[in-house]
Amino acid sequence: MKSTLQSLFSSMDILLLERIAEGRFRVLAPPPTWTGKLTQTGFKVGSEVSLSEDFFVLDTFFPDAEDLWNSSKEGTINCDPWIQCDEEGQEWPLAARAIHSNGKPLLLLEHLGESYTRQQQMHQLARESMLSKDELELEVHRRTALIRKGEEELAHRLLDVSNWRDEETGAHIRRIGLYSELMAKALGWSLQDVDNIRLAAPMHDIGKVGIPDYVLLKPGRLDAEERRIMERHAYIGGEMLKGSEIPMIEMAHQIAIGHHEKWNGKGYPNQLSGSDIPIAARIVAIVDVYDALSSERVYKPAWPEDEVLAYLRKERGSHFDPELIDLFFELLPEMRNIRLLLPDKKG
Amino acid sequence: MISKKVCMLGSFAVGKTSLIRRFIVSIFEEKYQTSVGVKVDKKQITIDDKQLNMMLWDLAGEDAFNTLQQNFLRGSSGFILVADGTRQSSLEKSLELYQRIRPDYPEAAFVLVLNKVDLQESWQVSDEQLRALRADGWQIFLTSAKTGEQVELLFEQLGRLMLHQEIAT
Repeated sequence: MKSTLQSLFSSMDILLLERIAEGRFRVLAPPPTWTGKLTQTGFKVGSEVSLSEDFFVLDTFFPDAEDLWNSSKEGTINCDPWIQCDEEGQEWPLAARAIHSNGKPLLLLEHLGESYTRQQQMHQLARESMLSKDELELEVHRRTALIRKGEEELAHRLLDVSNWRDEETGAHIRRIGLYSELMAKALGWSLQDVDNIRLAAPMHDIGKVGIPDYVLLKPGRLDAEERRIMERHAYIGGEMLKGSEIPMIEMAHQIAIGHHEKWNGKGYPNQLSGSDIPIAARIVAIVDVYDALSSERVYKPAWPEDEVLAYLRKERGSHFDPELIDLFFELLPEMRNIRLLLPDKKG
Repeated sequence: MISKKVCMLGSFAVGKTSLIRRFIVSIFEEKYQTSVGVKVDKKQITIDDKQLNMMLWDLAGEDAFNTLQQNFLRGSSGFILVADGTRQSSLEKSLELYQRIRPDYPEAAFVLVLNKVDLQESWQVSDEQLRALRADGWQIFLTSAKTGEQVELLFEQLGRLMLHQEIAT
């Protein structure tokens, strides 16, 4: 029986050893031929050997194996495959298994041969498939970025058109986008929506392209009829941007038509109130008034900051969404930074 | 001669084996060949007049099919965490491995490698991320196993770090 087992191990390309002391083993079965390639002394049945020199990878496995061999429990633990090279540079995939059976501490060293190649091929296929998936995701990401770039260019060109005749500065337009972005971030919006409002908010006054010069460019106060004409810019902007399937343009539509609505329903053009006014428009309503009052215009000097803030507070809950006004005041230091970083150009 | 064990760790297909091949035999193969288990190579280098025998343990990348065998790390003096600069997820994997391993090897030297720097058009790791990692104390090498960029430097610097650690301890 014993010799049958020994021949079996030998035919399976397995070196069977018994642990006799820490770091010392006895060869129990005729060693497979590969041991001659990988050991300096060669192994014989019954000889005592140390494996550390020839199979140094096993030194990382022995602490765990010793725990098993010295314990009272029976069982098996495996060491993952490793590649060992012989003197001619040929690679030998090996694996080890520590066994504690019937009180006997055993060690099997196995040449994996074809089974290693099969395992490698399986991993190769799986990993190549994962890499293809990664590459596909990257491609989707690249293309989305390209579409996004197109949307941004479209937004900038629309803004160029609206600024053509208007007195408002490019810096004001950019600040409106950045203030709105700041508020959206603080509200915990998704990155996509934060990005959308940064691009869409500057388009709030795009409808002014439809306002005649004698009203739009008038340096003094507007009379009642002129004010009625001017107020049409919200409706015109809304019409210009409505019906888009691009989320950023749809948001720009909501902002253009809704940024002069008031929380109390006394705004224009649709006298919406409270949360019926889209939140993006409620945000822009606040930051537009803050920036416009803080800036100099041909028809008015810049207001001192304390007066601007007092006005915003006074309009909390009437003109402006009260919760958003509170958030605005929490973010005031950062709002001031935006003004400092992007000042209006003089002259 | 001083001998030091170095483990190459990281996600799959980041170029661990290719970096070792470039360092040892100055060869690069374009075709990806996955590793299973571990393979050990040796190279002697001279650092500041000291001979250092580097035992380079190339461990299979970790993924859904393969978990890092912690026993292979025993006795390591240095770790090279390799990520592929064109795959953000591989950088996250390297940093995750670092969190897992560091407590067991407090004295070891760690360096971070962003490989495939030759593929600039697909590069995903931002300068901002690199600045933040460097501010965290990481020594980072932007390597290319294909062109050899920074490969020698990487192993030399790690060797120097390990020798300094030895003097300090």
